[in-house]
Amino acid sequence: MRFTRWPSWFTYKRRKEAQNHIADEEAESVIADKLSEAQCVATVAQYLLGQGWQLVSPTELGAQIWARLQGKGLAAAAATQPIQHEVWQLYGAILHDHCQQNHDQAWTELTTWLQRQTPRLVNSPSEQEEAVQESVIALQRQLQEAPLNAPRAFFAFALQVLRRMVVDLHRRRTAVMRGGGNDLSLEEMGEESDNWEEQVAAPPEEGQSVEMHVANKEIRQQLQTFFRRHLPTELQWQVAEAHFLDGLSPVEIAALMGKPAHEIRLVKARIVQKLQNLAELDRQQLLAILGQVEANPRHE
Amino acid sequence: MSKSFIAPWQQLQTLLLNPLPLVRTRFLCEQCQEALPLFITDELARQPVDTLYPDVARHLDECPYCLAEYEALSQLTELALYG
Repeated sequence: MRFTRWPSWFTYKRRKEAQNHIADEEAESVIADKLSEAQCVATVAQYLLGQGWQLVSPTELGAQIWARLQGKGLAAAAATQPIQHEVWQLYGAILHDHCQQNHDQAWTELTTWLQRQTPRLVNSPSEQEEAVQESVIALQRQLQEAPLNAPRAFFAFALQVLRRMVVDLHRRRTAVMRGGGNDLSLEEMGEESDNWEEQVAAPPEEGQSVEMHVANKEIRQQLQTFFRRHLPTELQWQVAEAHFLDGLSPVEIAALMGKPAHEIRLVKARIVQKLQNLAELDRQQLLAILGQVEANPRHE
Repeated sequence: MSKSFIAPWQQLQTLLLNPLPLVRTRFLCEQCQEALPLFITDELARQPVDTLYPDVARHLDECPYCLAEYEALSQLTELALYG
């Protein structure tokens, strides 16, 4: 979906509506075919079969997922992705626990799954095999040392390990080809950082209410004009306005625009970098406008 | 990482007044990258990650190194989940 003009529901008065967009999408389809338990279990079974995952029966996992989703009144046609997310997290936790207990089948499933992901990262079959083997060893070591705090993120964690391993192997090979022996692994690079200071924006004081949006019409107009003058693309204007003026999060903006959340987060990061690198005069102008927001929290 | 609830316009103000010099962010980079699998898992499930993990979200705004990691892992995870 591409907006030529920012829709009216992006004003803060409809913020609530925008925040509930995901729920609304689901609610709209309730009138259509409502998801049944049998359909839920069938979708789970199909996903497990496709992935080759057998540590838990589809009926058992399907019942668990049904218990979590049935209250949402999902339409059958719109339920596939929410069910996949549930399987991904629940089975991730199951696989994590089984791997930690050195369950052979679990390690076989994890290895096979990693083998399927590796061609997305590296072309050579020998490098793929090496990356998978090293990743499995790293994961075994990690789980022996400490389980994950959030086992439901196990699949994403395993992918992170795999990706780092591919980068690491590539660096090692490049170093050998250059004749150098001083290859540096990602882990070693990370060990340099002991005493770096951290700056975190201070939370509002207790009892202080913070408006997530910019309510004052004139100030909104000034910020809109500023963004349009200094940001290069229409998408950046839209994201800047939705985020900084309407207070929507990247996830909410992504849902409204029908884009993946990571795309919006990248756009937002580019906006921040662009605004941080403004000429001093422009930076002062933006700060002056933002100072007005603080001084006029609720005027319209 | 601690939670801090700050309006986006206030975040922008803070980012302009106190940009994080890259050299000082290495410690936060480690924390951020440690949190990325959970951040991405929840983001794909349409959870409010900017509220759940505000420090990670802010760090991604400012650190190109972690942002590149986030982008790559996010795409890879999405392909693995739906592929």
